Amino acid sequence: MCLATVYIEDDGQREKVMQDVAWIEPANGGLQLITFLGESKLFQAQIESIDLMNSLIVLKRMTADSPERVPGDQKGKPA
Amino acid sequence: MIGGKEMWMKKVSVCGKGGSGKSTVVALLAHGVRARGYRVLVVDSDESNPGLYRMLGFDKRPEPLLELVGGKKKVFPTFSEESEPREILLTREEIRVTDLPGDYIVERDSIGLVCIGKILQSLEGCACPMGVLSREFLKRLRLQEDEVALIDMEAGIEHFGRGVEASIDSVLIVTEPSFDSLALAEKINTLAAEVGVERVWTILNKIRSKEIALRLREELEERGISIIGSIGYEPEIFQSGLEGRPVCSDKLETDIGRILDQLL
Repeated sequence: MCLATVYIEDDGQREKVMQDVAWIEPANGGLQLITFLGESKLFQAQIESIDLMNSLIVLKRMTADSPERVPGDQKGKPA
Repeated sequence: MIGGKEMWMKKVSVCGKGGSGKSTVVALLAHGVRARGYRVLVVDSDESNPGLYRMLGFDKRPEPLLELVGGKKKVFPTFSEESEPREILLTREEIRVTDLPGDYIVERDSIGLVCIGKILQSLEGCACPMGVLSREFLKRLRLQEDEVALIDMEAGIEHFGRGVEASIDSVLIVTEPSFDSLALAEKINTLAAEVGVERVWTILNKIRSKEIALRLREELEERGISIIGSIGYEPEIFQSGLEGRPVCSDKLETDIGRILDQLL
């Protein structure tokens, strides 16, 4: 399956957050995920890994002191 | 309740090896189910077969449901350019046959046809979005008591990997007299059980003699696969298939009737 199942890691726990994800883009300092049927969610997270063989994407939740965090509206720019 | 029988079955997946006769069987079953007083929705879930609408007697194919999400090529830019979530038919929790827009269903004499999507050009990528759409459409499809959905699946078994059978009540495996077809029937029987479908049968198809039917029955029984019926080889059907004409034959009424006695 090419459309991805997305998990998020937080404090060592992995939780499934979205299925059939078709689109990911940087937005508002995090990542905007959109499914094949148009459901959209914004995560304050960065990509931990992408497994294209198994269509799995793992996100890692960003905290206030994450060095990668970009504050404010940064749609279109890397988070 | 229809005809005094409990309506167990609502969504029937017809699958099997490529060329085993899935679409032909779907067309024959559709006419048979309709003749028993049901309204039939045929779901064309095969991204490559071009002629199911002809087999059912329609003169045009409905617009693919894939277009409701913008089509395969447009879907991603459409999402990224819109700030508000889109309200579309396919995101509803329940979809009824009457909800389908006119361009996306063709109907006549209590038989309707919808099409998930087709591969249209080389290098356009895989059919995964169509698999997702099949799964979600079937999951959300709510049938009335007098409605039955027959799903003409893509050839092979990839649809099991995509979870399309998650909301299916019954699986019919069309099996022709060949080793590959038998082997695939065994595989499908296992896969259907793994996803929790309890009503799984094979339909023997293209049967030219009692001896062939007996041999196939023995082979399938050895593999632990239930048989719901047998459809004889009928030159009239072969000719219709060759010429792209509607598939129907009075001579197969008895064969189809025996299958439907168990299925409905």
